[in-house]
Amino acid sequence: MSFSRRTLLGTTGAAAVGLGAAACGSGGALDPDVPLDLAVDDTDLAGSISLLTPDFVGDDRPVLDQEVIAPFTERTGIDVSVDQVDWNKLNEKISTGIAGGIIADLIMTGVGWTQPFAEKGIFAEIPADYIEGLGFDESVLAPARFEGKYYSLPQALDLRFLAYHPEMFAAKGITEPPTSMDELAEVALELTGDGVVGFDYLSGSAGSARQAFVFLLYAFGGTMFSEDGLSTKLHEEPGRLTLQWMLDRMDDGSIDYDMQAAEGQPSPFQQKKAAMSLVATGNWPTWMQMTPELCEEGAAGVFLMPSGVGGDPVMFQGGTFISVSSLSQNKDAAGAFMKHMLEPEFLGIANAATGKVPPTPDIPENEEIQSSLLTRFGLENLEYAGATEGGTAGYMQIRTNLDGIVEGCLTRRASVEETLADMKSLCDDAISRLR
Amino acid sequence: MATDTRSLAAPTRPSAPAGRTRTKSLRRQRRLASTAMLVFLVVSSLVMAAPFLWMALSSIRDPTELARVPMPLIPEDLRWENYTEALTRAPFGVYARNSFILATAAALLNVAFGSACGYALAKLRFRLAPAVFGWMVACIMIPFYATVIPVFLMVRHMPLFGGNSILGAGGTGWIDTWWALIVPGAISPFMVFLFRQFYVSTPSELIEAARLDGVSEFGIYTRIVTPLIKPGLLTVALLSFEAGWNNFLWPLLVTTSENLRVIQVGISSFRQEAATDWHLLMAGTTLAAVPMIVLFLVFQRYFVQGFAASGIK
Repeated sequence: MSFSRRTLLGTTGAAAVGLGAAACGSGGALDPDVPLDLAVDDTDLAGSISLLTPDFVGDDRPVLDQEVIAPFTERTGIDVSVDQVDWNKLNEKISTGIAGGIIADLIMTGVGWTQPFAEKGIFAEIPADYIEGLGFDESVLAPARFEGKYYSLPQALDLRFLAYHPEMFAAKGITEPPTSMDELAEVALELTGDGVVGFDYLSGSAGSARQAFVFLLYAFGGTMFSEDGLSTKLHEEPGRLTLQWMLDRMDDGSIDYDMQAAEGQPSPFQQKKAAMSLVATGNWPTWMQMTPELCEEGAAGVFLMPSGVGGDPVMFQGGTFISVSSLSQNKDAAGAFMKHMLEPEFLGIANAATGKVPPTPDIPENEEIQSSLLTRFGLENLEYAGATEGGTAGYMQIRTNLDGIVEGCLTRRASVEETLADMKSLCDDAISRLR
Repeated sequence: MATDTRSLAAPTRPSAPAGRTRTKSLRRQRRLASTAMLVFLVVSSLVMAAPFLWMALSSIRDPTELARVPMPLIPEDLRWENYTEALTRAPFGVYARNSFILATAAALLNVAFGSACGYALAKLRFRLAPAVFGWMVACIMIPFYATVIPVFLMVRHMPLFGGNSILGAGGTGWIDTWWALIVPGAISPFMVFLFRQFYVSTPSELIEAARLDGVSEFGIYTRIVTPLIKPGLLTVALLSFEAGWNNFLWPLLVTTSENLRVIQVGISSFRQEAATDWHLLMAGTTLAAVPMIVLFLVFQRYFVQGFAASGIK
């Protein structure tokens, strides 16, 4: 059994939670059982709140301060202080905050993070009637649930699907994007040759090997965990099909595992070394900066990951979810700010700044959001954004280690059967600690 | 038994021209060896310096040039405005000031506390000295990630600070204050170990003579022995300054206000989830690296001496 830095930190964090909670309890200021009331009138709000966010970095920060927070402060008189933390260190920041009992009033995390922190009692339950009124698609609400209740809400999405070079399709006489996994495999092989790889799926330009695996898993009709999150389904038939499909593509040369773009360099797809590629909506600013010709009308085509089992196509969903801390000393104000951030106007402003996708297409006309082909496509197909990571409260212990297991299979250090067994063992171990 | 020793005692001397040839050949060999060594050292230095050179060159590249495949080795257009842009993207002045304060405090406090501990372990005779030293060495092996939460809890529950009661509850303790940034880094077991190694090599006779002359124990430590380990003081100061300057995770965990954030946290603002402004990141990183490079260049003689003297090379 190996211990990563995250595991070590997580374990010591969990051990320290009790001590921290006990110390906080002696102060008597925080009560995690106070329900979140989203109907409090603005005039009844007072004090200040803090927001912990991994987004709004650099140039995006003034937009958050001046165009999102300032109108809220003006309306309610509540001061909002922002604690901006890199995504890579967000878990550490939250873990130490939990241990010390001084977590921010509002916490922004990613897909797959809600269940672990809801299970620990860190996130406050969000009233279902408020969520129903938002009109968000079920696909974007699913990652916000734990044991049938909501503990977070999507504020920004990062959607992933497939892109292709239309001229490469035309050169091979391919008129339509593939509509099944078999077709995808055939087209990828047909496009491979003359220095071009048919399908760039593993170069990391749109997520890790773990996320690439999860995306395909859903395409093959699988899910990561059972409905209750207490058992894994990764080792079942869809998991096997997923790994085998990737290995087969690597065997026939249509996926090249060694094809990696150096950091800061354009992806193989941007360099036209790959005919098709996994892309993320967040890639658009990079395309605009590095390869603006790819952003011209008709220069790139996009399509959803076809189903491998005759079902609907699939889109992968990542993103930023907002939660109210159950330990907040000013839950009413925190709830009011969460509502403010999820208003269509501010969803538009915030997502235009961060280059992400709002969780609903019902936002005021926004030129920056509309100018991105990838964002437009993502918004038009939100209902298919069902491929998500997580689903169990033990996912924080699983996510990083899963990367290594998937990569072990792709580099032939482990067979498909061994990989599936490793995945099951990893998940069982993490889930067993919950009971 | 008679033995002819003359043949052994009087080796034949080479004739003069043959001697000159051998000397020439030896000289040539030496010259060749030193040239080869020089070439090896130059190549090694370039390999070692390559990431820094690449960083510096990339800091003045145009972003479109960074994206070109293959990227030209030397920037075609020198884009110095990357630096001004980087400085305006985040309050680097505040970040640099904070890092400087943090690094200076770490250097001064580590020198003060570390030298006192090291001196005590090396020169004062008390029964628990070997055990304390062993414990110090063992502490070096504990990774930062294993101690971060306990230290965070201590900082957060510091009694009578940040609204905390005498029991350390009810407030935020040292969180988001200079105390939290500086105090946990004020002493490090590695620096104590380093100092102990320096003090061990100093002559105990001097201490005994000073004692006979009536110098106080504190006087012996400050005026007699510590001045003998100047390279050690500089080594520890430089290492502590470097650790304070490059500290990223701890300041990120214990601060929430922008006006307490440090330069390494500021640099991370150029990295976003899906995209990175490499030209600005490289400009920011170059700016952050300059003070350390300058310090090392100024003090490198003492630094190298210090490591050599402590036996850690």
